[in-house]
Amino acid sequence: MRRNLSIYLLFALSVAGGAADLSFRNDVLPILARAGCAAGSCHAKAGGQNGFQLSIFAYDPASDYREIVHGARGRRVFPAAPDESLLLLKATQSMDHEGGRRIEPGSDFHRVLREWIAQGLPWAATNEVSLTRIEVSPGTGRYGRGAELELKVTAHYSDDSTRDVTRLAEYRSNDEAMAIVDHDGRVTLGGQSGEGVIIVRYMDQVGNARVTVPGERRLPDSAYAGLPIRNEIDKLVYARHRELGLLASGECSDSEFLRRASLDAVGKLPTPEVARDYLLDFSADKRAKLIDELLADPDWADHWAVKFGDLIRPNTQRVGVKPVYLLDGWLRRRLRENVPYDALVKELLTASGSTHQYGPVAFFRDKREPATAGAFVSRIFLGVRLDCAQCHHHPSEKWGQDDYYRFAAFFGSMKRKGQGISAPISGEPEYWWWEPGGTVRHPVTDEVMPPRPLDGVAVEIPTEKDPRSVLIDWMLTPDNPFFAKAIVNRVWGEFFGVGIVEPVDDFRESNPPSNDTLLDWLARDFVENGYDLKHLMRRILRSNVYGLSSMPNETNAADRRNNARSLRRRLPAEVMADAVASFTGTPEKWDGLPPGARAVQTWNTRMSSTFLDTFGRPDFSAECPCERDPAPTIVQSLHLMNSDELQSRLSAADGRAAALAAGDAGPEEIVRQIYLAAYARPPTVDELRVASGAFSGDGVSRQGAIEDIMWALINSAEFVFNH
Amino acid sequence: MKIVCALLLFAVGIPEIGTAGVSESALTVLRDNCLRCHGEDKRKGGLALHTREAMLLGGDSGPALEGTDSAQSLLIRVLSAGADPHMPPKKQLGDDEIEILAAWVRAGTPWNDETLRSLPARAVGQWKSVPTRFHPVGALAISPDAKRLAVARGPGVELFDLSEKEVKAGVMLSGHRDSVRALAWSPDGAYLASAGYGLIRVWRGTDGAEVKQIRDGIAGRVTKLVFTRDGKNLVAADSVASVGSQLHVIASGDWSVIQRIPAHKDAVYDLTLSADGKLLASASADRLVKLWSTADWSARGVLEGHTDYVMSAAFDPAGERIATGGADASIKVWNVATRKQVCTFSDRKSELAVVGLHWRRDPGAKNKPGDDWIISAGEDGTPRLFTDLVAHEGGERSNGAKMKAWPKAEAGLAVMDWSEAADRLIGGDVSGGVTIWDGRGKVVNRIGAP
Repeated sequence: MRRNLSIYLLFALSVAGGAADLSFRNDVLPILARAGCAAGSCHAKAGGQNGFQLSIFAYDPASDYREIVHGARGRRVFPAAPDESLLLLKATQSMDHEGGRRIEPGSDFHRVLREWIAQGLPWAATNEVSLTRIEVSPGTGRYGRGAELELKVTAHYSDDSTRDVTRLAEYRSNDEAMAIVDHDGRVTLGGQSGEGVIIVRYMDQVGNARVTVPGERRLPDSAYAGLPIRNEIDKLVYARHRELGLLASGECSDSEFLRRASLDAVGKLPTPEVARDYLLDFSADKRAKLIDELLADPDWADHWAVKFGDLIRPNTQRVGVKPVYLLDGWLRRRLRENVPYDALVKELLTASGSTHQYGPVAFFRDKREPATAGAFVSRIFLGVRLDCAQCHHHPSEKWGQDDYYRFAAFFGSMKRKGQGISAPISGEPEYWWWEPGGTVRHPVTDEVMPPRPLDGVAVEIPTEKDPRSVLIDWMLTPDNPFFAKAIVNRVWGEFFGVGIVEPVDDFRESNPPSNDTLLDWLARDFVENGYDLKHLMRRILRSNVYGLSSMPNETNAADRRNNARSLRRRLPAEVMADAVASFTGTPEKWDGLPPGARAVQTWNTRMSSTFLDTFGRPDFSAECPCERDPAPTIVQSLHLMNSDELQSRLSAADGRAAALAAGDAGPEEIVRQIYLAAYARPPTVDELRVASGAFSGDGVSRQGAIEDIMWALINSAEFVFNH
Repeated sequence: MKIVCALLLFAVGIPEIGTAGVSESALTVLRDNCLRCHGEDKRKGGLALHTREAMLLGGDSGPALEGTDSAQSLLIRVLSAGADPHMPPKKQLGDDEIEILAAWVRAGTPWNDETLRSLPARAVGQWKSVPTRFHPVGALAISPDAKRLAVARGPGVELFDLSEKEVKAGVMLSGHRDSVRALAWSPDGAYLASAGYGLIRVWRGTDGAEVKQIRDGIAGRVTKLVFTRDGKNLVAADSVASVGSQLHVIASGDWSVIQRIPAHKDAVYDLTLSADGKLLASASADRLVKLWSTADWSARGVLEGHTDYVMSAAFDPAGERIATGGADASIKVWNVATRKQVCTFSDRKSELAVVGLHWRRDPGAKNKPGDDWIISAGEDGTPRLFTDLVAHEGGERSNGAKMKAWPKAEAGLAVMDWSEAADRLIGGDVSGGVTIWDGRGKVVNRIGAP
């Protein structure tokens, strides 16, 4: 508790003799922040607390100064008798204070505040400096379980001076099971291996310390010697496993691989015929052949259009039906052409024209303000959630309002005419284009914000140049720190059920990747191969890691982040609907789409469908409709068990059950067919015996038995999950 | 009141046996530590301690007292360190304070309304001189003949001569230890009153000679002074921020305090008189505006509706309506007779407090209805003129007036005064500057910071 006291006193109270002024920004605000006065639940909540309002995370020091020094006719300060200042009486609870005692009477904090009041409440110090960065040490380290360490936080100022602010900073652990941290930066590691991050915030600066706890029992090298390595991905994943004491599960069966790869790459179940052929193919390169076939499948584009559509398709009830329809069509066309990802994004973000003629314009009609467009582009295409910084400094990251509005400024000179948003029917076209003129201003300082990319330097943009193209150029520089990583991480997340960074659109210092060398390699490989999505997917599909069994072993049962086994994932809504349709042999009918169309071809997520709603579609009332809830629910189970719709599919005259019943195959052959269609595998001996038994009950019709078996399979976890 | 109390005590059957000292110190502890939650308004746990009767009734946990057995009485038991529940919730009373209360219980809880209602006067331990750099305008007042302007910046009061085109500095009145927060001229200009912490000084208007110092019963800072229209009384509001405020009615003959009124539960920021002088309005940080009769100083109603500190108030020239403004950045107009809100308006672009208000007739119109001119001073430095008030029903925040912003002062405004005689608005800012606008909103003069 005492260790930093002397250093702090040295700095702040070297002035106690009356020589130098204290600084509101550098001496007073940090104390108020640390004491919790400016906490979001107290005086920094909207509207303040009992008439006294501070800015959250001290983002507006001038306003805080006015509030304390001049607010309510100076009621909070008393320079002629500093001890009588309401600010001190309340903070030390010498007077009734709902927030309790925040500052100990006689403490350093108390003395600094008192001295500042006695000095006549100076705004700036004699030599006012500005905080440029903070340094946390040790920044990284490897520790044993249960180890303890003390962090030290050093603030660096514009005049190259430094100050120990360990006692003024705030600390938070990103994973309490990994590590806990107290008010003074003392870290105690938990009982598990892995990586934790301690986020340190001091004023508008954020830093962190990473703590790594290696696996307690690291395995001998020989344990890894026999693991098959098919490409670089395997090497990098195994390297991480070695550090963490994980060992990959064995390989999955051919059936599992076929079903898994088909569902992941093209969103459909393999037909019984395809399954049989694949299982009976004994050639060494059959897996590679399958992967090539899947990536060449015409259904590939529709499946990925759903994924990308979730990210960019606006609400039809907001921007209108036609613009969304055109955008969806544009996206499917581009994916069918396998347009490189960089070109796809460039075309979208630099679009102009009529919402009723050119799909990508719908994006601008939806994200009408520079700020919303900027925040959206940052989150979707760069994986950086800037949204917090719209109103205040990001609580745990380096992003401030400056970053937010300067990024938004790339969209600050868009022009429009025609019908605006008039939900629910934005029926008439709107035209969007770029033309010189128009600025974005900082909401607090009202300064004009010149465009600046994230983590970049402000760019001088000639007036005749569209700033959006400058933004794209920055995004597409090969070593851009965000763009390629964001998309390879998304795609990785689709194939493995968990991103290398998770959530996949939340890249930040305090949320490190589970394997940064892997992420770097994937991004570099993706850029070097022309931003080709199919190339990326081929790399992933061909890795040994992708083909691991979902059965855990004792080293990896508790791990979900490091790809030591395959994670079981519930099928997403459209894929599930198509799986049920193809399994039962009864195509769904979709409004406005031709007969035989699949759910992955629906062009907006508001199409009426109880089934899709049950299995989860983007929610336009959510903060970001780009997310779906992947969790299995009771309602889903009940729907599969009891819905009339499913029953009518099973008993349909033109469905699979009817066709099998009408054929001349015996019960055992029928059961084999059904198992291949549902699971891409033949039944086990026991399954075959039990299922065939369904045909021999009293009064059971052939079709009834088939329906029962199919119903049972649809309701099994093996059907509902990709595994 | 005394009689009622005595009767009550009699009825309950506990004789008043304690000495005045026991009761005063105990009631002071009670007032300063308990009343905020167990007062007339809040009654946490069903317990109120603002009257002896309420205390004897007890709360949800049963009676607060077991006769005169202090060790058994809940009121005392909850104060000890290990008690559960423990009172006050986030604080531990000192042993001396607990003993004061225990002795008082043993003495039969003798009551003294006056102690309970008065504001705690905190003794300032150590005075320092006000740092010279800290000189926001704490108060300003234009003399009735509009020839002089008193400006308080820090502990001193300067008298400026307004009679010439150039504003000339004049006498400096010094002697306050605290920054001066209130100034008022008597209607005949014979006296200027100034006040800071715990002290009111009265100066002769003609030459600035000190006439009187008034300290009697004044707790905390005096935040506003006003002379009644007949000049017979000086009213001072003292304010202990977040605790309460009293109105002291002072006779201008011998400068004695003739009445003391517990007025608000937080600081008072404005006192203003109706044109006929019959009503006084007090605006407070407790979010209320209260009306008082200047004839007998009885309460004449409460205006409740602001959502933050009320900083300013002004009657209309006819005395039928009153405008109030405050830290919620809105201005509300009320019907004085019904005490209902007539309309609410604001400059939606400003979130800062309205620190001053004046209500006059549109100088161009001739006493027609709708010739209201409400001039406000904003903490953002801008005076604003509101006209064409639109009455509206209910509490919706429609913008019930037209607005015109006047040119800004050089810093945020802290105080303002208006002179009808000179047709001038004068505002003092937080940097110590003074800006003078004419009646049409043109800046005609500025006095720089000291």
